[in-house]
Amino acid sequence: MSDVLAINKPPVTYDPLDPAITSNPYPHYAQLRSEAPVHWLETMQGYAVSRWDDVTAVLKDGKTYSSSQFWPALLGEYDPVPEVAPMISLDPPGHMRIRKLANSAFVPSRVGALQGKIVSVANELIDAIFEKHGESGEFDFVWEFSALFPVSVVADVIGVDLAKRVDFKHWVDDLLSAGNRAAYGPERLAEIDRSSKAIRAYFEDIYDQRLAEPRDDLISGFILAEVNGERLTRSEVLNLAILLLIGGVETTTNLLGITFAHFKRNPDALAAVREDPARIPTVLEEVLRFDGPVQMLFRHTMCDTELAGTTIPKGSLVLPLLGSANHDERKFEESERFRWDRNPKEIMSFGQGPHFCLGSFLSRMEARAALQILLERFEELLPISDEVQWMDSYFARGPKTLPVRFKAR
Amino acid sequence: MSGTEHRAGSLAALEAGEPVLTEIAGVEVALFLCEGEVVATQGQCPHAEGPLHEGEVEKCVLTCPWHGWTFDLKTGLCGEDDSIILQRFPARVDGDDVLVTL
Repeated sequence: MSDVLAINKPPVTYDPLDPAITSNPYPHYAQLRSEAPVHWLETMQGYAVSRWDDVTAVLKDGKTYSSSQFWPALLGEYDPVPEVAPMISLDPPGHMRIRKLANSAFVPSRVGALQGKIVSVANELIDAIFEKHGESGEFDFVWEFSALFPVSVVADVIGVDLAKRVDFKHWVDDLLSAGNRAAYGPERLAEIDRSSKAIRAYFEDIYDQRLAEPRDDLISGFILAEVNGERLTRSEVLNLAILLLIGGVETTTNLLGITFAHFKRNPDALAAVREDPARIPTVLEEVLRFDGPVQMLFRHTMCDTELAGTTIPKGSLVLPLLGSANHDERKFEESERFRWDRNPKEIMSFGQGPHFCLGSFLSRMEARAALQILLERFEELLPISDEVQWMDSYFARGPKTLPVRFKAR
Repeated sequence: MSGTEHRAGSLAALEAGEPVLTEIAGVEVALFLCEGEVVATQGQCPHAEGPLHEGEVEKCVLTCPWHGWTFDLKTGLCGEDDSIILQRFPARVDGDDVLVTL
């Protein structure tokens, strides 16, 4: 009987290394949830976990599902600081001790103090767009706004140089695409390698500068901080700073790009926030649920275990699919529909458990403020095409480029 | 509103440093010792649901093991965010029994 069923089942189509699939992974996730909720992916050599409850179970149980191999699994030989594990790859209690150092800059009271900075950065970027392109026309939303906005907000906080903000975007895009390294040829791999070395060289310089002359920024704080009576090593500081740059910049950039891509596809959502900007947080929560900037995470089993009836041996790579959990029909009504007024109570987009996103307050605040200011200052701002060119990554999701047509107010 | 008193755990276990988490009427309750006094709090961290009973307590400050957020066990105040309060429940000791009112 089971053999007959197995023969009749269509093969699982999800393959993270196929760009045609990652450009719209959701139908493939749906098949996984329905037919193979814990599924061995040959190309990734790991188990994809696709249902809300199972993803939650994996992320909350750090003892069984360790984060220790996260960075090596994602970046492989392109990890800019391979000699130490970054915060995202640490398990408790080591993770918590490092995280406490970074917490101080991201707690709501500190983030709230950035509100003025957020408003001025958004306005300055829009001023520059009007100066360059006039009162109406076309520009690239990713490269002239969304990629520059979060890094400009957090540059002073982390302690990096604003002049390099376009370089950061290139470096980080390349680093994140290292996840697809198995599918790339030598030229693309050489680019990724150059970016990995460039980002390290940049942070080595900053380290030396802050060591000589500490400032009121996170990198100086990391250099001076003591964890259990010991200073962080140079490599640990470099690693933490690079992680915060990636986490603090790429995700919010992508959230803003994804939001406008969905405004094009869902004019009712745009009309709703134009009519009443107080709806912005509600719409953003649905964007985060429906098409979030982080699609999956990486865990490794510390012992033999079982999940949704599937045995997972010790030492296996496990891929909790956040993007799939957010579409789980067991959790959300009409889960495959974008409903701007859904107001989901829970979303998986910032993860769960010990590694729940450190920057969720900041990211939400940045995205809300940016959206409000963009709507105030643009009478029209919409992608030209319905088709979006997505980044080369199964891990991070966002438009690689987003040409928009605009009219100033 | 007056609640009902429930046995939540053993004082000896608490004094031996064992993490104590129990469920009373569907509510998770964690127990701690703070300057010799028993303190009962919600079991999950109000920040992001971390398991508070596994946290470290130093000078009556509880640190959540997941994200390192800190709470004053005497007041429930959070060191990282003024808007978050750790819920505390009345607790007393009777022999070896820790009794919590919910």
